[in-house]
Amino acid sequence: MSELWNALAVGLSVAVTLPNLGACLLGALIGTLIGVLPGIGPVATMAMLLPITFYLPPTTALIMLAGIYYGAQYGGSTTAILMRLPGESSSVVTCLDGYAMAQQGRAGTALATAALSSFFAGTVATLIVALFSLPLTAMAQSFGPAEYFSLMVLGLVAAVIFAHGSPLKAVAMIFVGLLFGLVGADVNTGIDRYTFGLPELRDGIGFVVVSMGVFGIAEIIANLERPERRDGAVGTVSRLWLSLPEFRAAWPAAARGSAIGSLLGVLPGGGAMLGSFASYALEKRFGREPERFGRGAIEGVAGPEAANNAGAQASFIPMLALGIPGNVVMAMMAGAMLIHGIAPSPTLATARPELFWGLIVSMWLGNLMLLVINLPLIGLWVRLLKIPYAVLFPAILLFCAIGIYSVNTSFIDLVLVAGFGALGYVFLKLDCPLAPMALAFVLGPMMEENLRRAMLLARGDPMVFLTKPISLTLLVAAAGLFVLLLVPAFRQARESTAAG
Amino acid sequence: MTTQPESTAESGFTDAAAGILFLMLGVTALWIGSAYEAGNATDMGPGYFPRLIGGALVVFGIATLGRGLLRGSWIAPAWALRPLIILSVAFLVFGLAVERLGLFIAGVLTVLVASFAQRQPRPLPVAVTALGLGAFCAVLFGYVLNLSLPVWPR
Repeated sequence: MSELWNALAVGLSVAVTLPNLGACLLGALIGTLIGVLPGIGPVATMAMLLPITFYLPPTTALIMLAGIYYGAQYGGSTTAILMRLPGESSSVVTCLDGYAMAQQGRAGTALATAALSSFFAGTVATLIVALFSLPLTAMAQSFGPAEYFSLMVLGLVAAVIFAHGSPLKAVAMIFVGLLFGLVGADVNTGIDRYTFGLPELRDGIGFVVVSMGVFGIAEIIANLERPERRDGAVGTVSRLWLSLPEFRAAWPAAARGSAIGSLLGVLPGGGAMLGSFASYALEKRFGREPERFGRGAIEGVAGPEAANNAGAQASFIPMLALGIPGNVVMAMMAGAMLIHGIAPSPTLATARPELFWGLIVSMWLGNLMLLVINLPLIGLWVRLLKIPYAVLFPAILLFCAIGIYSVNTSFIDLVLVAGFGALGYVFLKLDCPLAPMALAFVLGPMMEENLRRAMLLARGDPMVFLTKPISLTLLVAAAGLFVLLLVPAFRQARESTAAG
Repeated sequence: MTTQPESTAESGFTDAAAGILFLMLGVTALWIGSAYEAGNATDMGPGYFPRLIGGALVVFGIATLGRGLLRGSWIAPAWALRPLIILSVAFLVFGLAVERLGLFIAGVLTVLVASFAQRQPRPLPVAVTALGLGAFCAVLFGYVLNLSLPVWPR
């Protein structure tokens, strides 16, 4: 236990330095901003800002990028409550009861509930990240290539299960992602694969290029064909606080939401969105008078808001402890680490304790800042929504272009981003989910390497994946997730809620 | 992500078209990949994993195509070709312009081109947006962050 306190003390001493506090605040503010604005998500923002973080020390850069992710969870809920406009997919459920509360003149209460629940969940999740990372890191020391391969299979299966639309297409998209991941020189033999003779492709396609294309450019194209939606009058925000009965109703829901969110966030393929839906379903199913939900039930705001923030933070656990990014945002974080020459791996906590614990402590500080700055700034955020898309989309495009060009000063990279944008748009139109593809793209090279090594060690016997207990457990879990698809209740929930 | 495709999930068209796309990717992967040595299960060559992936894409492509054909109902989604092409061009304009003309002019040109992706671009707001964003980026990236990109023509 004292080991944990020492580690947290190290983290605190790193996180409260002036540059790191500044990065934390800046990340949280940018996150809130893009959380408020529909049409741009955390992944595209992180991709745009990645080149800038190149000029920062690695710890500072990661603190800022992390702030963007959880800041977006706060921002998304603000517009969900005030205007029924979910800025992020994870705040879709908050619209239901949050907007209903706003219509009843209880907007201030709903906003305060969302902020306090998020902060509570952020505190719980930070503790969970701190508590579970070390044992998991220790466990990961016993992982061989077979275990790693199975773990990544589990992650990809989870990404399929939690994706939007047809599982058949989601599985196919996994293989599309793996295929793009193959591009570049083969690590074992140095032979160029799928490079079309272009020397720029020998190092592989960058993750920033892919994610900027499919999450940035493709989104803009899809948004431009929709009629612009900027209605929704904003009511005046009354008293930003909760009465005692409201507080009594909200906090158990926030506690349950934190638990569910943390649990689902740790799962590979999970993250912020999943927890919020699960928490809403739970509150509605087991709450008193379920018919209140959708008509301004405070539990319907407290639970999901706690869950999405807890999920966002808990999804750092697989990346920090095992070196395996569990979702696309974490893949982005891993990409940022790689740019700074730090390979995500289970040895991170021992090799770079200042980065590891500094990041964890900064997440809690960031949540505290968000609680303090967010409520007074609500008026400003709402006014930002009036920025017309005609200004916003060229700005995003230009930032993307400058960002990607400054990484390698390579024209090919710009062509690739445009190409992936077009491809991403085609996939969107054909109802093919992009998140599984992006995750598979990141995991692909690691999967191939671990598959090769595992098979070499086992002398070509594929049974090795089933005879090693940890590997078997992971594969059984993956199979279990597929079985989940056959459960009618789960299918129904997935079809009505799934996103991204 | 923040936006979801409108559901055309019941249409056979999206399945069939996606299936053909997967199939094409798979066949291309196998075709190009056939030049890479496969090796065997114990000692996998550079061509082993590509063959697995290409094969899987072919299988899933056929399955998706088959499901689309069985479903019928050929509702094709509407395509926004205009933004698709114009935004790609805007990206390339930036790449061609930035080294020679500098961040400011490249930024203005990129925004000008990109603005035509809207349905009805209005001249004055477009011009103001282009100049404003160009200046903002030139100052932010050229001077404040000091990226190694030229700000002015050379």
